[in-house]
Amino acid sequence: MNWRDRHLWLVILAGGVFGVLGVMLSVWGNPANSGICVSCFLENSVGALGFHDNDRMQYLRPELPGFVLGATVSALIGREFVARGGGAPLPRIVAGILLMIGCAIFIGCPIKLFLRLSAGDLTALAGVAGLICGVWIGLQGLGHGVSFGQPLKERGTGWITPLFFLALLAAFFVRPGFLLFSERGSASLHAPWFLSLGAGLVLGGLAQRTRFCITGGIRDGLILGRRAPLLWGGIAFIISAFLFSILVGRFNVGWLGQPGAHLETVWNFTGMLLVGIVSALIGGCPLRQLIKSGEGDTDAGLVVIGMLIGAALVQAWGITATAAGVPSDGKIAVLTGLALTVLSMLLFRERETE
Amino acid sequence: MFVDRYDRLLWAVFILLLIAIATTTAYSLQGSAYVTQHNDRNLARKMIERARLDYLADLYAPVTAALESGDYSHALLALGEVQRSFPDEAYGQVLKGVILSKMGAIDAALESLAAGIKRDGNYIDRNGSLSYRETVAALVVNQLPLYAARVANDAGDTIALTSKRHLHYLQSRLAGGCE
Repeated sequence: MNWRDRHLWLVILAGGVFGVLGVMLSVWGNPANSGICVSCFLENSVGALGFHDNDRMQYLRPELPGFVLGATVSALIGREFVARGGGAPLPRIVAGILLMIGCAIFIGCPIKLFLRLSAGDLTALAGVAGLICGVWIGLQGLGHGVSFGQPLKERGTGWITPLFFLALLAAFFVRPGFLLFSERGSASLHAPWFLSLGAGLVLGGLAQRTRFCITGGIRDGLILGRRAPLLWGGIAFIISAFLFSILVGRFNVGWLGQPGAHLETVWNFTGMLLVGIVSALIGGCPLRQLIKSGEGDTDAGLVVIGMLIGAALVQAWGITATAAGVPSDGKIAVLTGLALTVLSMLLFRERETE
Repeated sequence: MFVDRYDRLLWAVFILLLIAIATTTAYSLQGSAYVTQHNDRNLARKMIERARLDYLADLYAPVTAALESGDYSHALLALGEVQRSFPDEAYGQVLKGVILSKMGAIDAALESLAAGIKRDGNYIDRNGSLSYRETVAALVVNQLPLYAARVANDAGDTIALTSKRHLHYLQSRLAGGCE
């Protein structure tokens, strides 16, 4: 490990800032342990757009446009904005849906997984195990030739996703009549918009510059061991979130009574297992997909569209888990998701004998 | 897709997952929790609908009482009171249309009915609660030939043209179809 590497320290800084803002956004008003949660934010935002009728989950989260537009600005400054895509578009939409199903069963994305853990929520441990196993299985697939194709350079299309999120941000301020905002439930809890948006922009920029990604960190850790900068970024994220949780009095270690958590260990594991496999196969966790879509990657843009569809479906069909546990439809959905993933690994495998 | 050991492993996992899905589905359908989960959502919807109907009935009680007793001018006054707080509420607009039609102010009645039903088609549905389908259907059957004749006689009669347009809209809603 080269400790004089500037990029390594930038990744560690990004991880640290993610941890601090992840805790502070909760302190400023976001739901407990959900300062940053891409899947929760997506479910809230599609609810605000009227795609599901859970009136406790409808709020256009400014963090989401912040992530994407922060990444766009950072990519433009760093001359890394390149319109590219074209690798297996339909499976990527399905992958986005599966990511949201896995997150809904665990109640949170990989970022929230570690925010929950660093706040003392021990139910997240099964999720950590599931995510690591999932990334390992995904890596095995990639190693055995599973591939969704290489992206090609495109013209102009890279702007579609950033413009979509810019439109969402405009809608947040203009407030057209079709937007819905919860007056109760978790979506009614939110930080002031300027803090949410500001945090989103900073984190989006940092994540673009450093390629910060939870599943990417696990992947690199499994491949490169201690030499992986992203692994250290992830560790910095966990340590800073842990320290800040203690500092602001939000650390509460235990299994029971944790916010936004359930006690069904097998399904916590299975939900994150699905997220881990899919993330490894498509090259990044839900946050990373948002960031890549912001720097012109239309393949990631399609995953984001899939995630938007998935976020609506998990709420509309009652798939999502709650503190009461995982509903039957959720269990069937996550198993179906795993079956589809295994099937796609068979279908998209380049074999040496072929 | 059966080339090597990895392929066979994936197929085995896939089959195991299919068995797991079948088992979970069978187990779910057997238990009462699955039925309860879905009944809860339907029940919640019914409760909201019931609450809406009760609220509207309560809000417009003086209007409907006067309408039923045939005191149309008092019904209109009572409606004006409610509409001061909720000027564009659909049921209020439908009620206004019904009262005006009883009073013979057909053009204004058609305008109100069309506006109310555009906002909420429930008030003309066959199975809709608080439905005024029969009243509106009678109005369309009786008035459409009259307005058609008026427009045929004087193509520049803009009031008749507007009312005829409203009648055709109501006729289309009465005819049903997918919205």
